[in-house]
Amino acid sequence: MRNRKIFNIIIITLLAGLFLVFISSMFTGSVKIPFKEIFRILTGGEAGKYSWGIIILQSRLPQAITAMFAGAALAVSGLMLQTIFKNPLAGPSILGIEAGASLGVALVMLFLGGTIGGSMINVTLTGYMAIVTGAIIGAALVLGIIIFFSTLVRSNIMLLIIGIMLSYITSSIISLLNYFASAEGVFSYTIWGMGNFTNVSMTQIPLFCGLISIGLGISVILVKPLNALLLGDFYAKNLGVKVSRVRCLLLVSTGILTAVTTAFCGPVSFIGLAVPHIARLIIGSSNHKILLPVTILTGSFMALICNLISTMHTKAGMIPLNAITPIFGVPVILYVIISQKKFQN
Amino acid sequence: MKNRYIYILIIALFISGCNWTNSNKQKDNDTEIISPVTYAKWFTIEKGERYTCVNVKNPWDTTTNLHRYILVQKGRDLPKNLPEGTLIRTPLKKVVVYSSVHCGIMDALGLEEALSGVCESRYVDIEFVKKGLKNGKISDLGEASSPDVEKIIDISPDAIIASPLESMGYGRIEKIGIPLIESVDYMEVTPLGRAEWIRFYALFFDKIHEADSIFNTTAQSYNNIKKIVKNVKFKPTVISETKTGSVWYIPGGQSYMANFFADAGANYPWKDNQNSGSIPVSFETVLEYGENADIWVMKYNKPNDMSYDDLKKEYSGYEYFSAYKNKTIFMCNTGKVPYYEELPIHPDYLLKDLVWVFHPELFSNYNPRYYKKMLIFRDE
Repeated sequence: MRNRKIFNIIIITLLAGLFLVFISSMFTGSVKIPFKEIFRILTGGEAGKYSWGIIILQSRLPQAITAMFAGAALAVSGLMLQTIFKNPLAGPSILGIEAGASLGVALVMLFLGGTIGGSMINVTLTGYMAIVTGAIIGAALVLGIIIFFSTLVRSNIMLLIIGIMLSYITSSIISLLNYFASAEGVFSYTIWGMGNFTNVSMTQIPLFCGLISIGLGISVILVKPLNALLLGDFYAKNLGVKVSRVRCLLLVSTGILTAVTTAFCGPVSFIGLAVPHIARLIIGSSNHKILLPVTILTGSFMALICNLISTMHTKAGMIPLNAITPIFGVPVILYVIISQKKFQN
Repeated sequence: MKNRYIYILIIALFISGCNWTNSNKQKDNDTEIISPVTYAKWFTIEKGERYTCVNVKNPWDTTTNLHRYILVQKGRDLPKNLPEGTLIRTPLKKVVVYSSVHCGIMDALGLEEALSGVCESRYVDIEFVKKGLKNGKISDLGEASSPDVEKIIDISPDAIIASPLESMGYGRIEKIGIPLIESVDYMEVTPLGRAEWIRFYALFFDKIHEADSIFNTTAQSYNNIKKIVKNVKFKPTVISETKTGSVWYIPGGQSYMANFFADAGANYPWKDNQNSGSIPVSFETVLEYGENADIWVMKYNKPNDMSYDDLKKEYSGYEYFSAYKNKTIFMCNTGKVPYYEELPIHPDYLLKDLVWVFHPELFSNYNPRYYKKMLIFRDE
């Protein structure tokens, strides 16, 4: 009963924190907009200046929503992978799904000149949606390969190694594509690799949030088997968990979450790796029933904070997202490694 | 015996004749006047007795020099008391260059024979270089950041023309004893300043007259266009480029592009900014300053020309700019036109294009070289 109360307090605090950072994101940016104006715009009123309405509703609002969902997605994906691989250093990038998405983007940006389709199929995609599609196809392809191997190999460590090897292969193809690309292409690709929450427009928000919700939904279903898996595959089996089916669902769920976030926001580092540890430190438990919601909220919170810092007006201009995430991520990882007894020995 | 004396006399006369013509020629070269540098900020030329001293200033530390070159023609005795600096015997007969810009300059000066190697050859769109790479006369030296040292040693060029980056060395290349010609032309902020660098390169190849003629024509043409624009009453506001990832790189107020906008008679919202490079700003900053901009110019490198619809698909926020609504966006597809190749030598071409964009009434029948109106529909 007491635990339940603490859990409620943690959730309420996190929700309040999330709300605060979300609102702060509306107020932070390189353009100064009066407090009253922001309030009026957010409550559906007419903006005092045309551009202010656009900045709040078409730029800051979708950016904050994107950060929130992306943060949650990456954190949950990291949590599930850490549980199944029993490895505190597992994260969304570990299975090569992120690398697959990167390869898809590199192919679209550097090889196809930013366009998918043409005369062969009737649909032609250009611009941002071409990049998103490329990333999703790339990630799905790697995910397919991983799922195929997961039916062949029983050992999780083997699966992990296969994922890492796939990452190496995709990186080598990306290097090759970069080598032969135009200077502008290489530049755009490098910038894409720094991650950002600004590209998802208000019209794309439903699609982005919908896809992530599917991934998060699957993870909620997996809470019980995940708890069983903490005891080891053997115990889980004894508890009636169909390990191979859970593993497959888990791969699909983390695959969707990682692929969609990477496709829309680029590879965002450290949130997926560090947030599950922060969540465990907050609640002091590995029970996924409470760990999952705390991870979701902490992930959103962290991503919003990083987004807030990246949009703060500095003299040098904007700071790329992936320059900020490690500042929060690295100390947490170091703390976890140092405090874990098995690592010390 | 008599015959012998006559022979000696003839030979002596011949030798003295040779000497006479030679010394006369030397004298001509010595008194040759090289006009001083007018527009470029980062190099100076000083003419000494039987040598030329070229100073490259350090753009990152204006109190120091980056490099000093002492140029003495080949086959001449070295003058005594030469100032300190890297001695180069001109004309250079064999060089390797790091960038396509320098290939363009070699092309303009008619130095096809002297070019033996290039870095990042895939970016070079110059006919003689492409041909040379194909038939093996010009070597591909790989990336400019880490060129193939073995190949360079094998070519053993007289010099390497390279562009230094701030506080970055050249690696092993510095240690192989081949003089490095450090060119900071890309740090020049005025279009004519950058164009004047052709004179710098020409000195190393004894081609100063050719360079002067190219540069003077460019400068004259540039200044003439500037004069035509000087009296225009309305200066349209211009914004440039697009967002890359989360940032929008805009030219700083004192940058090369900002100078072009000013010379072409446009009002640039960031003209008071003190930055001479490009500044990463957010979408909202550009919207705040440039929402009502009359004209929007952008460059990209794509297989197909872009339409308004394509631009909106890239990022939907673009549609809130007046230039988008009023269809006054002009684009330059650098993959299809020789923009980057010509710009360092012929800024007058771009200036004329920009004047056509900002003040079409001044050049009514002009056929623009780089820019065109953005397509209303893709299949236009």
